[in-house]
Amino acid sequence: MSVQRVDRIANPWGTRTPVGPGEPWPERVDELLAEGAEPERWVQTASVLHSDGDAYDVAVQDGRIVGVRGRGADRVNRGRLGPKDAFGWQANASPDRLTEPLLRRDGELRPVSWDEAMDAIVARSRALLEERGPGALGFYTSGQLFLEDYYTLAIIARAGIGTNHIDGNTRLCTATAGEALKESFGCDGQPGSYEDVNHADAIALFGHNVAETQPVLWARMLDRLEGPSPPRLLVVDPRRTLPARRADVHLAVRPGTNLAVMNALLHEVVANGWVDEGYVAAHAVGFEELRETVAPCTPEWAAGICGVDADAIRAAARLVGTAQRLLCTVLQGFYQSHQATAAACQVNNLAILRGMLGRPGCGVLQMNGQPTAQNTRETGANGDLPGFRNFANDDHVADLARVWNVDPLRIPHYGASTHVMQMVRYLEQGTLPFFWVSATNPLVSLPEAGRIRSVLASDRVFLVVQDLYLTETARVADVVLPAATWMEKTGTFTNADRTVHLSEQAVDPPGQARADLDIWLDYARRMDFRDRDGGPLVHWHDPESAFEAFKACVADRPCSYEGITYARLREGSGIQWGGERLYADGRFFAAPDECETYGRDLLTGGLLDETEYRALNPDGRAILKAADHVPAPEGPGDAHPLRLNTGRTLFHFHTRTKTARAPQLQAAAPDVWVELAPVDADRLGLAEGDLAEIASARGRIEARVRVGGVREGVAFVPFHYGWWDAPDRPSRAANELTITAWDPVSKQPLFKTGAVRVTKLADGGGRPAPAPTNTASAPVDGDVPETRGGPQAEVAERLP
Amino acid sequence: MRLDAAIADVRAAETAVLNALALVGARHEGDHDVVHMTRTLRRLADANVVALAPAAERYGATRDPGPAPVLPRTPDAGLALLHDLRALHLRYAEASIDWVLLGQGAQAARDAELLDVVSRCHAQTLRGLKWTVTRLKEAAPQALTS
Repeated sequence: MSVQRVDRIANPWGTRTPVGPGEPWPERVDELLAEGAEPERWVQTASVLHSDGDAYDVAVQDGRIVGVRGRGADRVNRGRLGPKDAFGWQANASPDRLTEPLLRRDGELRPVSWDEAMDAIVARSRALLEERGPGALGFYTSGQLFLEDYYTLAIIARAGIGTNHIDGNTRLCTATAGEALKESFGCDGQPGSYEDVNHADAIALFGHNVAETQPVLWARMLDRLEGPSPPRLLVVDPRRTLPARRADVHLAVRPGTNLAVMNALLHEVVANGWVDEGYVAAHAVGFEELRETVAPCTPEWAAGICGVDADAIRAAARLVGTAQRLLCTVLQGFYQSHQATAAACQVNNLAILRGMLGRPGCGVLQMNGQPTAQNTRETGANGDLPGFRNFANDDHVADLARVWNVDPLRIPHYGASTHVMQMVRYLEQGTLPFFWVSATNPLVSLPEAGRIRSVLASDRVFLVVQDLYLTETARVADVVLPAATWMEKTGTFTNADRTVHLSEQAVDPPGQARADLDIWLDYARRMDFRDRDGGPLVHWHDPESAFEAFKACVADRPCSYEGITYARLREGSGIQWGGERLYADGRFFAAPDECETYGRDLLTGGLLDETEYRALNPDGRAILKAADHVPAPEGPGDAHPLRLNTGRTLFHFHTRTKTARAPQLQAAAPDVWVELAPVDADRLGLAEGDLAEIASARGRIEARVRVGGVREGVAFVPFHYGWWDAPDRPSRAANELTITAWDPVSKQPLFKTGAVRVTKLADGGGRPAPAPTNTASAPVDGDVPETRGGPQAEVAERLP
Repeated sequence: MRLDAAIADVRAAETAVLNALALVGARHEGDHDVVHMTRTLRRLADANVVALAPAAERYGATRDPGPAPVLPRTPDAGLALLHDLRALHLRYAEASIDWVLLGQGAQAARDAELLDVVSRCHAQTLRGLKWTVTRLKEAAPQALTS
C-alpha cells in the first residue's frame, strides 16, 4: 500500500489501477482534509454533484465540514473521489447562504419569519384552490434533493392539492432515459450495472462524455483500457472528448442527426447477420417494422446527413455487431438533442438485437445527469406516477389511491403530468399563477432565457423559490425559503445504476434554514391535507418514516426497495435495488397489466391506448421501436451558419450555485467560452482568446474563443454561467441562444440543436480562453497554459 | 371504374390536412411544440400527396382539391388551440376514411401497386390523427378548467 498526493484539478481521474476483464476493481481511497484539520468524526454520504453516486464520508470538526474521504467498500467508486466530490463541499459554508425567509413587499425581498413566509404561501394556495382549482398551482423540483423530499412533494401535489402540474429539472437531464426505457422495456428501471464495465469486451458511449459527467465511472473505464485485454471503444460525439481520443472508432456526427447514425448502425447489424435471432424471437416484438425502417439507412445515406465517413460507420457497426460482451451507455448528447427518445431507443434496440442484456458485461446504461434524478422518477416527482405506475391503467391508479387512502379521482391521471416547458406556457398564458420552485434555477437552465425571465418575473406569477443561495431565479421570487443542503439533513438517494445511498446529517444548517422535507411537512400541516378517513394525508414526520412510507408505496412495484433500510445502509454502504442487473432472465416489466406506459409513437409522441398495446405486446416482451430521421426544428442557414451545441464541463455543475463557491473548481473554469474548430475559427478570423459575439434568432452572448476539438460547423458553449456573480456584464448564459423546442416523447428540451452566428468583437491579445485544457475543451494551440490546481488541489490517494 | 374519384377524394383530404397544419402552426406560435410538430407532419402529408401522384395519373384523377378550408378563430388562447386542433383532427379523420375507401377499391381492382401506396400513406395519416388526439387530451384539462 502506498499513499501519494495528486493535484486532482490537473489530473481529475487520479492514478490508474489497471484491471483485466472480470477482475474486481481495486480500491483506491482518496482523501482531502482542510489545512490543519483534526476531524472529530466521519459521517456517511455520497455525491450530489453528478449522477455517479460516489460514496464517501465527510470529516466534521467544531460543527463544520473539514474534509472528505472515499468509501473503499462501496461498489460504485471503491474509495475514489471525483474533483467535484473532493472540492464541492466547501460551498456549504459559503457566507452568502440564505439564512432567513424572504418575502416581496413593495417590490423588494425583505426578511420575514417562517410563519409569515408560510402563511403567505398557504393563503395564496387556498385562495387559488377556491377560485380557480388545482390546475392553478404548479411545482417544479430538482434532481438534487432526496428520495424522502420528492415522495413527500409528490403526495402533496398529486393528492393534497390534486394538480397534475408537477415536474423536476430532471426533465432537462434524465427524462429521455426514463422514456426510452419505458418505450423499449415497458417500464423504467436501469438494465445494467457499473460492474458491466469490468466484464465488457466492447463499450459504446452514445453522446456520453463520461470523463466529465461521471469522472469516477471514466476512471473505471480507463483502468480497463489500461489493463490486460482492454475493451474496444466506440464514441459518438460531435466533440473530441477524452473518451473520443481513446476510442477505436469516433463518430463526430453533426448535432441533431443521432437517429440517422443509429439507424445506419442497426442497418449494418441486420445486413451483416449480427442479430441474435434466437433472443429476438423469444424476447422481443417489433422486429419486422424495425427492419423495414432501417433497410434504406445505409452508411452512405447516414454519412451525408451526419457528416461522417461511411466507412467509419461500418467500422463502428462491426465493433458493436461482433462484440461478445457489449456495454452501451447514453447521455445528454442524445437526450438533449433532436429526436432524443427515438435515438436513445435505438441504443436499446442494439442491445436487444444482439441479445446483450442481463449478463455480465452485456448491458445498457441510460444514464442520468443528476445525483438523485433516479428518485424523481421513482417517487412521482416528475412526469410519472409513484412506483412506475401507469396513469392510463385504472388499476394502477386505484392501487396508488389505496396506498394514499384517497379517492382515485383525487389523483389527476387524465394524462401524463404537465412537463415544465408546458408549465411555462401556462405561466405565460396566465392560467398557472402559482409556481413553487425547489433546488433549481430555471432562469439560467431553461431554454430561451429571455422568454423565461419575462415569464417568471411577471407580476401575474406568484413565485416561491426554495434554495440555498439567492440564485438568479430567487431574485425574482415573491417568497424565498432558505433550505438546508446535503450534510445538513438526512435522506437517501439512488444513482444511475440503482445504487441507494444514505446521506446523514453531519452539521446544522445556517441560520434558520430548514430541511426541504420539513418545509413540505410544514406546508402539508398548514394546508391540513386529509385522507379519506380524515387522517393526515402525509402521515410521516422525519426522513426515516418518509423512506418507509415510500417503500410501502412501491412494495409491489418493479422498483421495490424491499430489504433496504436505514440500518442496513448505515452498516454497509450502497445497495442496489433490483439486484446487480435487471432482465437477466429476458423477462421484462412489460406485460399489459404491469407496464408503466402503453407507449408512444416515437416521431410524434402520439399515445397508444391499452387495446393497441395488448395487440402489440400481449406477452410482455421488449419492444423494438423504430422511427425515421426527420430534420431538426432549426438548422444552420445564411443568417446563423453554425450549429449550437451547449453542454457541461467537468469542473462545474448546473448553474454553478455550488461549484463556483468551491475555489479549486471555480479557478479551473472561471468563465464562459465558445469552442470552435480550427477551420471555422480561421474562416471567421478568430484566434484563441479572442472575444466573440454568439448570436441566435433569440439572443446573444459574448465569450472568449477556444480553438479546440469540436467538429467543423459547430459552436460549443458551456451552459453553467449565469449572471449572479457577473452582474455588470451582459448575460453570458448559453440559454440566451437556445431554441424553445422539446422531444415529442420525453419532452426534454433541445439544448444541443440550434443555429448561431459567431463574430469577432475584440482581439484576445495573447490571453487564452478561460476554458480547461485537460477536458474536451483542450486547445489545439500548444502554448495555452495547462489547467492546474496547485497545492490547494492535492488529494491523498491510498493505492493498493 | 370509379377509382379516379376515390383518388381525388384522398388527395383533396390530404391537401385539406396540409392547409390545416399550416394554419394551426401559424396561429399558435406560442405553443412551440405545435409549431414544430405541424411542420414535421406537413412533410408526411406532402409525401402522401407525392406518393399518390403516379396512381392519379394512371387513373386520370384530375379533379382539383378545391380551396383551402377556413378555420374559425376563437379569442381565448387555450380554447383556440383546442378548437384548431379539433378541426385538424377532423381533417385527418376525413383523410383517414378516404384512404380506407381507396384501399378497398384498390383491393377489388387487384392493383397491388396502389394498395402498397395506400398502406404506407394511411399509416402516416393515422400517425397525425393520433398526435391530434394526444395533444388535445393534454391541452383540454387546463383550457377547460383554469
